[in-house]
Amino acid sequence: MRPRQILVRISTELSELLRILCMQLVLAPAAYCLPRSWALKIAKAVSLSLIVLPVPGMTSYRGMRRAFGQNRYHSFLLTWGWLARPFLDFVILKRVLYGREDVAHWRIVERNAETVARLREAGRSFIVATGHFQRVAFQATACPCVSPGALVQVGHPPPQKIQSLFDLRILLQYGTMLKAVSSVWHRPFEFAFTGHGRSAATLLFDRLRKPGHVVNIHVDAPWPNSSTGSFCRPFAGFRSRSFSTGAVQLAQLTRCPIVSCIYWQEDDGTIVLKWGSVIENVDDEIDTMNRLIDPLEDAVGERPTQYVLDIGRERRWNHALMVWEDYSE
Amino acid sequence: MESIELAIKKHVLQNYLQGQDPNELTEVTPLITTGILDSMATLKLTLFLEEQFSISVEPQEVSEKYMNTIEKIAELVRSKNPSIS
Repeated sequence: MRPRQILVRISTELSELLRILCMQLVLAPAAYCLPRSWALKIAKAVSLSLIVLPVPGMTSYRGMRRAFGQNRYHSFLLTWGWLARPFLDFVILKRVLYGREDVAHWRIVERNAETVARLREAGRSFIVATGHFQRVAFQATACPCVSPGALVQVGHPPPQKIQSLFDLRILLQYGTMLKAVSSVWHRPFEFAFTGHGRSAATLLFDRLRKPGHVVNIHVDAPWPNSSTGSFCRPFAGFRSRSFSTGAVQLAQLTRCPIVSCIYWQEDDGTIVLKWGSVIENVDDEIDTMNRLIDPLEDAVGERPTQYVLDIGRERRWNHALMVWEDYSE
Repeated sequence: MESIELAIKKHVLQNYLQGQDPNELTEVTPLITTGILDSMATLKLTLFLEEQFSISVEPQEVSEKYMNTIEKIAELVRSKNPSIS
């Protein structure tokens, strides 16, 4: 192993340990004891500790500089915002679970909601194609006023065995999110975990063929390109990323409409959900997937600190044209 | 009317084994455990069975136990609609 690889390995493990300690020893107690704004300030402050590490701090900083082409100060702020995001979300989600967050008072604003209003009124089942954006705003997609009827959330299962610090961190972070989203609104809720063979697909197939179900799928989830039903395309800062076409295949099979939904949180705390056009008939799988993913990658460019997955660095965001473009080098 | 087994075989050959030797697909060839049918393909086959034979397949029946071979699938169809030969 080369010295650089050793450094990356040590830094990665250290950052995982740091995140776990921050969440368990600092942020969870802060979420329980302190006022919301104080707990969030602490979350933002402790995330600074990650920036000084080669991984993820310096690598993320370089990635942000390359993808967004800003000056050093602005790139630093973007990096800080992106690294702080999981901590900020963790604090709010813990507050939700501790009963310290009154979700009834969350201000949720929908844009272009008339497109889905007809589906809701008719009690039709439909698929919401969304992405890995801010986890607090994500909770709003499970609100009964947004997704009426019974909700099925598709996702990766949390780790069953803890074999590494990464597993433990994911269990804490992702597990908290899953607990929050399934309990926050006290509503009919099911998970369909991917990677469990036929069971998830069969569950979704069954629910979508009945009226009054909403299936929420993160269509931007990375998917092995060796799997059947995968396709590659550029996405945000990545020149090529592989996605599953499962969501549109399900829409096609069940003849259910599919609609994209982007969500974010404004500075004043308002959660915004922006709906795309409802796609009633899936004629071409790839074309439909592109129509669903295009608005997601634009949203990553517009609000990078609200995206929780890696953004990539092989393409850059054109701030003037508001599009992702290839480097011409 | 063609037999259930033949209709299923035609569907599998046309949709998932294009260009393959039809003789290699027998009534006991495993479809799910060998990966000929992935999860989506199994659902497509389920839809085909429901439309073709006017039956309703329950979610728990969309599994290896009932759908791993043409023989098992035909058995499932017959159990749901005994009037079909």
